[in-house]
Amino acid sequence: MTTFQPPSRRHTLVVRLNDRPGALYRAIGLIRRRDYNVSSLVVGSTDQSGTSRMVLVIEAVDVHQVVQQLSRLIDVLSVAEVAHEDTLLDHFADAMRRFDTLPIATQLPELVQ
Amino acid sequence: MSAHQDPALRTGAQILCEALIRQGVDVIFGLPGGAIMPFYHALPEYADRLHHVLCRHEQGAGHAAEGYARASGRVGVCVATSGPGATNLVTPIADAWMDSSPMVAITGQVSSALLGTDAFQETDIIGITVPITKHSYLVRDARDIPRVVAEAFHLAFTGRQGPVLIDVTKDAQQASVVPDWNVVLDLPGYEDHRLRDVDATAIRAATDLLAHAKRPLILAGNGVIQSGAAAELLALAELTGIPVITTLHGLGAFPQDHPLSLGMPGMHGWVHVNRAIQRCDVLLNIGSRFDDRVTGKASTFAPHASVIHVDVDPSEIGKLVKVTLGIVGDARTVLRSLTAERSARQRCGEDARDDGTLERWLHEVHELREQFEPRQEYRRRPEGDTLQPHDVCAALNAARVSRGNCRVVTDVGQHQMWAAQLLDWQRPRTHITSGGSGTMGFAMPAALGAAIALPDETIWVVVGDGGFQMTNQEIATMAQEGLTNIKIAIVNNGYLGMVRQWQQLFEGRRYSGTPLSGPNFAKLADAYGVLGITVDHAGQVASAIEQAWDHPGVVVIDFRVEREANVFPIVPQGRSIGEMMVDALTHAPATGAPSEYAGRP
Repeated sequence: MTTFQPPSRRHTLVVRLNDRPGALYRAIGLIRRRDYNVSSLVVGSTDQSGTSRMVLVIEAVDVHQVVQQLSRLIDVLSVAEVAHEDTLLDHFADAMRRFDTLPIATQLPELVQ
Repeated sequence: MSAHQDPALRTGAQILCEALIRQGVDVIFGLPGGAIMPFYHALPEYADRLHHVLCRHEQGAGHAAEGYARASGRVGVCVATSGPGATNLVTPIADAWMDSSPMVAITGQVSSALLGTDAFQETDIIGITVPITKHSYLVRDARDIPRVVAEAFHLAFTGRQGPVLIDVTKDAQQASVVPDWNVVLDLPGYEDHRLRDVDATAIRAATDLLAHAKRPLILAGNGVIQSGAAAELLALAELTGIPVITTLHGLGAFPQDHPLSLGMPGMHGWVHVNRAIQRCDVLLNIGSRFDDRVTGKASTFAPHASVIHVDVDPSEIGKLVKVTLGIVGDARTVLRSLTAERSARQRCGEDARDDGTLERWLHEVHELREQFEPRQEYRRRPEGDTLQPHDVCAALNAARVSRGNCRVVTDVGQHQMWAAQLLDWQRPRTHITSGGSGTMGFAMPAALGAAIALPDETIWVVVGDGGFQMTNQEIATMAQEGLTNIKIAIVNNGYLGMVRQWQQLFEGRRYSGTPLSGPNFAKLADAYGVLGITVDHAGQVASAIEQAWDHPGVVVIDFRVEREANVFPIVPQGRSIGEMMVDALTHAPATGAPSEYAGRP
């Protein structure tokens, strides 16, 4: 008999963080711990120097707990769940797809003979 | 060195020492190595103010810092080198995380230029400990040290307490800079919820619920002790007449001999306590996190109760148990507000309760207690005078009455549950154990830390032969430090007892990986230069404890006990706390292969 698994739902979170090494790692680590999948993630700087903003879409069973535990991280300044903006994220996905056609040179280290 | 060298220059290592002293630290537990050598080089310059305890394993240093913290209420500090030194701290850091113990762990790291190159003894300890630290810092610049240390201690000690890691590169320790001690704490992403203004609406709502409850209960946990709120808890209980139950980490938060004290709930709690929870209509939880050892199957927990949850960490409220009313704040502050609100109402004649409702409720619970009298199982005397493991705890309890108080540090397993059940807990910080993590090997080093924190008190250790073998080398540390106030009672049954019990009760008595041999513990103690005593029948227990208590030094007592005694009652995994197994006779164990006999030298 399989255990009943409650359904995952997609949630979009906007997180403001201190723009410091390790801040992002800690925030993402929280989500990994619950074995939730991150469907998309955008991080970038904001107008306020020293602060960055992360928009992530996760498939989660209990988003309330994720929000609570993200909030208590020292480097997290605020967490908000927003309505899933299909259009915004579709534009983002299109922009990402452009990287598929860009020539990307793989630099091989030169062997010193 | 230049003749014009600024006399205010200090190395990062010296600044680190000074920063610790400024935080009020006077003892640290550690073990040196290459990447932390500059710090160790500076330490002797501060020896008059900062004492270093050299442990035998970094895990020991970490648990010692925990024991120190849980005994004293202050931040425990441990120090290790990079690589394996740091990774050996992972277990105690995880333990401190689970039990919300205030700890600052300092690790040496390879020089900044080598980071990420798999250098000798390099480990990404920050990466490894992200899920088990409240926060962590990588210090590459000595000028950051004053701010980082101040922040680290602030985070470890305030709000929901917990472990903070500071990883300091070797070059940062070696660099010479002029320290700037004007530190202003700037942590915009951090809120110390202890300082929250009391939510008056919530207090009124909680008071309403409690005042009109017919079968109310107060559940007190770790938070009451960490907040220093024992007096406030007593005041509220006495004002309202509401009975009090205490979790494993809440033992000592409420005096056990008080008429309103019921005991411990949960997997190895008492039947009457669990039944009371299942019957209650209002449950006020202060400072416990509804751990699954307490709730059993969470969906069946306290089915008739409106739950009021008071916690300093908002993410705990509603995490596992549905809550009617959540109050975020400091236990002491909230308890005071609840008492004040109720007092005010009583003075106005509101909520007058002279209809005997609470008396009937208390009577109902006391009747349950009579019916399932705790320790009843432990009164059964098997044939012969084989020492029963729980008798060790009972004898220790009796000794404490005449000797006055001591602190008790327990390890993890059956002995831990017997100690929790059978010792009388009257005051906070007298019970020191590993709860959320259940880390075997916790007790010996934690006792070391507690003994250093409280040099004028006796520290009794109750530990199993399994846990003892994990970290007993810290006896050498105790000896090196000249400690005399530690008495160790090994409950030696030649098994990993708690696992064996489960194998007996639930897995057809298949003793896989549980029969455990060990050295002659009294001889081992002697080899460490401390007194060792062997006890193998019931008549010797009391005198051994007296002898140990009188002896002016560390003592190890090897209590060779009945091998297959079990802890009762027990809530089987995944069951409701209303379904407790009271003793083995009601549930015939399935037959299985006979256990291997491990033998004892």
